Amino acid sequence: MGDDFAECIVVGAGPAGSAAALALAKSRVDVHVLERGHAVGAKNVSGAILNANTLSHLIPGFRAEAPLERRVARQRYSLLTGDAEMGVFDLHTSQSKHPPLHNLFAVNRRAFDKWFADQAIKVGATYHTGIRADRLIQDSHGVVIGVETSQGALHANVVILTDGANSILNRHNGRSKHSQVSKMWLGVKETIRLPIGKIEDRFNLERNEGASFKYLGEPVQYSPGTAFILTNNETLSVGVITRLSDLSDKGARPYELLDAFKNHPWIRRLLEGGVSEEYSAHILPEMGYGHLPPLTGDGFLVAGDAAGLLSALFHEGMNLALASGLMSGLAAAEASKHGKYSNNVLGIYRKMLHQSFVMQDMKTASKFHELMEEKPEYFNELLKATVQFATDVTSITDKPDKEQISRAWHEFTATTGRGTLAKEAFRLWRFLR
Amino acid sequence: MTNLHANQQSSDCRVGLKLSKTTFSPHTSSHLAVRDQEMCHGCVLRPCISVCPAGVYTYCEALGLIVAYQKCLECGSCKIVCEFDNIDWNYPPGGFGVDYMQG
Repeated sequence: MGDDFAECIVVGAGPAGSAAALALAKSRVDVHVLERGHAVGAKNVSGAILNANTLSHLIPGFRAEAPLERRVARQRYSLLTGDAEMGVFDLHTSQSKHPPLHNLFAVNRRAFDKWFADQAIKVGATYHTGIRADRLIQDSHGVVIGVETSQGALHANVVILTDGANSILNRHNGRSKHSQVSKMWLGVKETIRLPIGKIEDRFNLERNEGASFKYLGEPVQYSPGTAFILTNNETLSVGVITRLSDLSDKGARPYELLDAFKNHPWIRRLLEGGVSEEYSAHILPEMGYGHLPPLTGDGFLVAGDAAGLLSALFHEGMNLALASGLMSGLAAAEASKHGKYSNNVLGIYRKMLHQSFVMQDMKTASKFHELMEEKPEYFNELLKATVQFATDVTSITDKPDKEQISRAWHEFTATTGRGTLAKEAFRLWRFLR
Repeated sequence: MTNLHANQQSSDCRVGLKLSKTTFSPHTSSHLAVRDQEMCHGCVLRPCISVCPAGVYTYCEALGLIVAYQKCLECGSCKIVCEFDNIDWNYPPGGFGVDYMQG
């Protein structure tokens, strides 16, 4: 690469990077995207459900063009214990064909990220694959003026860091405190191919419909976290997302959690006859609204996972990456118009984030995260007692129904404490409004 | 019956089977390094071993912490859980390492 110069460098060709590149190229800024994978998408992993709302604004025709898998028509959440599954939410609606429910899709990241990059290339962005960015180059005043790569230095007016969870901003100083470990989540996933027609049968779907099943409880050892099954065209994405602190505290191995989930009696049947095609892992840095890294500095901006803009518990990442990437690109394009790239000028990016759903959603996710840290029993005692209550209420005995229900209720309140449910419901209601 | 077999699998066996489905193009030199083996010797929990989703790390008294970098999924968990900041963590050189087909 030698000692080259670009107007703008984007590090990382994920959804955030390509959204930034697309915005910049459209504004006729000379933008170069560096991707460490030998091909776009080679390093990218996610829970595989794309909320395509931002994408629909950016590329209105994406439904016909993008390599999408099934459109999510059914969303189910359940509590899973060793011997019971209690569905607490299960919506299957044909309204998912129409706005505002029609923007949720399963995606294969290798295919999708490649397509998205191609959209940026079409309007003039340049991609360089197989190049690892190693550090930021700063001038004597600390202003970022380029990136040192495995192939030499590349200088630029402005650098956008969309290089994911292990961004060059923190790759080399990994000093970890427990408080940080509890904000880092690890997702492990297998892609499992099922015989043709089985997905429709087992998940009760039409040919083009998809399902997203999420589970709390046993699969994540009654800690905060989720297990999931998502339907692609002919494969399932099956995974577990849990906090690194819970994994290291309990000495549990992530692949053992995944196998235990896959072998749960109610899950095994959904996967039966499936052939595993790929195993992947990904870290989710949920720093929280109050602890986000600097989003801009002199000569640089940060977006997507690299900026901690995601919510592990809500499985929200790609849309926040797309939106923040897009805004960082628009801000850099605006700066380029004036030829000024100071932190102050690039600050319009932060302003845009705060005025959009991105920071509002980050605030909500953070509040929920705090609530969760205060109340680990939500995921343990309360979850188990709820499943037991449902079991007791439905059991067949000689007792009159009324007595049976009141006995079950008594058992429930004996475990959780009197008035707990009302109190927690009230807390949740206050939190949500 | 299949469940019985699955339950009897050792953890090496489980992770080995999973990794056999994933594509890798490992570089000839490691992108992960242990800074000071003495630290690992004195470490009680060695959380890097249990959190690594690829089973990259094993420990034995004679050799210390062994790093099978070739099967690294590049998530970064090991570096984050190491209390002693003893893992010099980097991505593999451009174009090398794990090659996800599905993501």
